[in-house]
Amino acid sequence: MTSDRKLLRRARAYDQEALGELYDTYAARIYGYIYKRVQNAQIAENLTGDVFLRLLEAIQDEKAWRSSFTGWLYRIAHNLIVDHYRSEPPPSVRVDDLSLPGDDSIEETASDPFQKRQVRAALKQLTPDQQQVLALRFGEQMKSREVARILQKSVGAVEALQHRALNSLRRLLDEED
Amino acid sequence: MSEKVNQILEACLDAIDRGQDPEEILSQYPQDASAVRPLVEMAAATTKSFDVDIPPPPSGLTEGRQQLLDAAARKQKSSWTLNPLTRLFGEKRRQHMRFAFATKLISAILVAVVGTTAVGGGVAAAATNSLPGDTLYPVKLSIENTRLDLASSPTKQANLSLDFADERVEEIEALVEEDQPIPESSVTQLERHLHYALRQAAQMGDAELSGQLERVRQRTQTQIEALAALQAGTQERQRAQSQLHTAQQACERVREEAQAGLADPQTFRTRQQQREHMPDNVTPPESPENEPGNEQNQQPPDAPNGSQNQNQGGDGSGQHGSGEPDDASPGNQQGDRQRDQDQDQNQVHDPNQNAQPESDQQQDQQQGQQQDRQHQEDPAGNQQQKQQGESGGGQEDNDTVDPTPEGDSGQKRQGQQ
Repeated sequence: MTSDRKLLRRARAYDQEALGELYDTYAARIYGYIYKRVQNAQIAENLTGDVFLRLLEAIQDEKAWRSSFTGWLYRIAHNLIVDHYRSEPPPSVRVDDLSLPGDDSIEETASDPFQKRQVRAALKQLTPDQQQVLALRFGEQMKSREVARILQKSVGAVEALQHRALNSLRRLLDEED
Repeated sequence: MSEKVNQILEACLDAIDRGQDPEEILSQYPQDASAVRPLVEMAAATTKSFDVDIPPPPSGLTEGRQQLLDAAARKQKSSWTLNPLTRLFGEKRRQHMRFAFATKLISAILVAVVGTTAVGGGVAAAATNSLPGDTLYPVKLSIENTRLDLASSPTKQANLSLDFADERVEEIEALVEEDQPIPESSVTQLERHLHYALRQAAQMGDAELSGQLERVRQRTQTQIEALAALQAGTQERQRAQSQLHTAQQACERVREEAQAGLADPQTFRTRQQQREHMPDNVTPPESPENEPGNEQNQQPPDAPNGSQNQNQGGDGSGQHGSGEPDDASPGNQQGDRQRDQDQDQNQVHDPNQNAQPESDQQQDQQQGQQQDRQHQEDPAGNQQQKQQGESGGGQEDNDTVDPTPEGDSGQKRQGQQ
């Protein structure tokens, strides 16, 4: 955290070395996060680049990143993903159209009530906030407190959002049956 | 019910993280197990759905890196015209801008022009990046005060004050990183910003109050964590440890007060009202230590007794740096040293002083500093000045920098006149 702040102070003066170091530290993580959401490597890479360009635009406003730089990056990434889907909505796929095995192994398909592709399709039908909470909580393996910090919400609000999101997911997947 | 379900769900998810069977947790809550189990299953399925092989990025992320650096170079180039000013005022410490009126003037101009000209924005940015001891640090504090004065509602004032508290913590972090001493005034200012935010919250209605107190609680929690982390890294520096510990305790007190306010808003308001009438509601600042840019050899020649010069202000209280006309007021020459010292340390940074219509501040006013105080820190005074024709540019800036969603309740601080 501390060294980030030092880098950020330099980055605010457009110090190339500091910006490069920030990029090298976080780009892969952000790419992974975005990829899990969009499932397309080229789009994920483009959006990752956009995250850092937006960072550069907004870095003078330290209020934005002061409490958590990583959180700020995730927030930017999330907003870009939402923008991306607004401009290019994903093909509408019914959850029950995905009942054939996709990237799920035979063992997984046999043992798990839900298949990955079905869950992913259902995830896209949740609200952006719900998607983000689940992506951070279960995709990035963050604790509720970390998610709360990133989303600038209370832990209680995050847990309530998570609860609603899981219920909605369950409902969407059950409707298939 | 839902809260309990969430708690059990969290416990189950923690158990899964530890490699344990969530059924062990569910067995402890037989009545709720049927409600929680589907959520646990769904959480597990969601986790699996995210467990995908991530292909390497097509360009290895190099294109994005180059884009970023190119864009940074363009921005740096476009700000080239600002550099002479930045060099003139910023970056290098140890040079004092000794005239407080210059600081005030510059900050007022900056606040007025920051949104309209590149040069103003550049100097403001340089000031914003400054640390205690930097030449531009007093400008930074003065800009903060001006923004606070121009804020049009308790909500905006409280939020700004929280931002400034964050800023103090960040400065402390930067000083620790640079192995610089932490000025006591930084800690005092931090505490005052936080108390001020609480006091402004006390003026809000119930609905707004709880949101504001939650904000205070969260922000202080973040500050506590940051200060604790710094302490862990400065074990060999006893002085820094002590200052960090004091700062952390201050944040903890405010966090606890916010928590208490969330539980019992009415008592919180009463307590805050009582605080307003106390001579000083936080630990009085001690004598300023030697701070970066505040070394003894830089004491101005007219410093009273030449030591512990409260007027010097490498930490920003230098807005009232000696040598400045208003600093030679009878108040400083005749007044109680400790009171003057407290006052001077707080002058730039402590918006709370405005809410203290009595005691020290009143006496100080009688000693001829009223005009300066109003200009420096009294929003009521400034509001008055504003109404008398202060430029609208500042207000515009205020709106720009503090886009608080809450509407202006029209409430103003009960500042002294």
